[in-house]
Amino acid sequence: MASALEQFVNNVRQLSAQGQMTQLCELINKSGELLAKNLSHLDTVLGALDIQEHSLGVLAVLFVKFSMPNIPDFETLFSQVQLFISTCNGEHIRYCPYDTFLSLLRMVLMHLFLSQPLRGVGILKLAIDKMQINTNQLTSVHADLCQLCLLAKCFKPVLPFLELDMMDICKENGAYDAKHFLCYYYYGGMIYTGLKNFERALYFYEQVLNEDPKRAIYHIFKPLSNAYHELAQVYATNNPAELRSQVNKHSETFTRDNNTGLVKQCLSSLYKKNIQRLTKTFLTLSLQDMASRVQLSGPQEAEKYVLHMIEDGEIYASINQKDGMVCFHDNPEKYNNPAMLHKIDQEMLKCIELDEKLKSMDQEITVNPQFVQKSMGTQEDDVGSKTSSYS
Amino acid sequence: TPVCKWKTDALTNSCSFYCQAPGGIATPQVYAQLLVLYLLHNDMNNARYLWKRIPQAIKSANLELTAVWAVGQRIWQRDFPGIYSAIAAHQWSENILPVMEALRETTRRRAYGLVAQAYTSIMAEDFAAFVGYSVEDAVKGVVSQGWQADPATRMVMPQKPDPPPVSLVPNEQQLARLTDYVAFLEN
Repeated sequence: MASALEQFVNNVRQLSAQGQMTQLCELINKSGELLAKNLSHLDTVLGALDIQEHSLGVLAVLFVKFSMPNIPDFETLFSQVQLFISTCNGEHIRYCPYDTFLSLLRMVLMHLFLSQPLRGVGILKLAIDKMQINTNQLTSVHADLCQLCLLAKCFKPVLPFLELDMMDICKENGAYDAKHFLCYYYYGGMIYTGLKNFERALYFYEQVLNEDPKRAIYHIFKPLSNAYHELAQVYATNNPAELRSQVNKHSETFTRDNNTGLVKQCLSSLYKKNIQRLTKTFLTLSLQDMASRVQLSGPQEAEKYVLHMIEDGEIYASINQKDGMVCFHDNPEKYNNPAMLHKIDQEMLKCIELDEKLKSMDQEITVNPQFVQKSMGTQEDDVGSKTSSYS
Repeated sequence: TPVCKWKTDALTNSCSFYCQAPGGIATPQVYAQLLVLYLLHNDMNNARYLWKRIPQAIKSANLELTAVWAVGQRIWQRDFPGIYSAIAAHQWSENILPVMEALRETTRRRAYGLVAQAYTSIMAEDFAAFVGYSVEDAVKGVVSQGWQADPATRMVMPQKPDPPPVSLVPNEQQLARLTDYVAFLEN
């Protein structure tokens, strides 16, 4: 091994052992060229370093190897990266060149994105695990994981992350950007839309649109999404024929935006909505009558709709084929049974937990020296007493 | 070679097929097994996306895989008679056959449950199509369970199913919880 490289290895070992993180970071940052010039010896360097003890050194080598325009043996390098991410020292990574770590990750992903996106899932999950201080902390890699799963059309791996409430953001030494937050919620919304969990999808999309700067942009984008606004307006009239003609009018736009599937679901949801509205006026209704009121093709289609809605819990009714009638019922839930009590218990517990979490976050802020200084400073300017916005 | 393991989830008492394939692509047999398991669990979302990401080349070359998806399409459309005929239409390999038979039985159970919940009276022919039996067998089966059948009108009158048994919470636990709530609300 060239002596400059030997020097590098020794320095890495020494600084790591002594816990001299700042010097180690500086060394790493200055060694890029040296490592790039000695490509053929890099495997020897790796052999001389321990993944756990010299995580930053190993990271530097892997980064250089992956930055090369030609990677002779992708599979070996990929397994090296995998091994590194699973066994590296999380503390060291969190301390130092975050953007190197993230860049390495994203370089690996670039190689996988088009051909085999699913393979990247494992290393992204490992990376999140290494970066997070707790499972409710949002990292920039969460967005990458969502994007990867969307590309791979496989959502199971990312669902456990999406289901958690994020309470904190991983600063990543300044590498964390608003873009990562927005992408996470946008991609997450798309995933939930694909899984037809529309309520949660809506919640995620709202996170994207509720940022103040984004509201200003909304006014700019509104005229560009005319087709959708018109669709919403027509939907509110409850008229299926009108809705259908609206869908046809803008079908090119919807197809171009890949939203045809969702638009079709809007149409069938209008039929369901109109059937539900009938329950407010009627106790029983013939299937023929229902079909003409709701503008379905006939009693058979009406029966099918009602049957599906019963199965999905969207309506309480029973079908009497003998007389061709539907009977609407009240919600049989009387809210007086142990199952309901259990449900209320669960909701109460969630509220109590959330309250405790908020109290502790409030506590953290009130003893934060910067906050104290700022609020003391403001009080000197105000004549009257200022009620804290947090109490 | 792909590594495939069965993983049983003790909580839900269900099996999930865990599959890790280097290169990210599995064999057609593995895809077929995973797909049919999703169908068995009525997990149409994951089934649909699995179908979307299976490479076209594997789909075209594999009759059994396409046949599994044909069953899935019927399930997605909630076409009960179609489900039974799609299952019957193919000679399944020994890996898939037991799962398909289980799928047929769960479909039947689902059909019985749905008819009992949704209909106060239903044509015997429609009912038989729902459960995939001949009219005679279908009617005989439910009459023995307490349903009414009228041969003159050819109508079957389902018996509403019994409500599921409720699990009771011990009183001390309830009291303790209420105490917690009051303490929380008063602070």
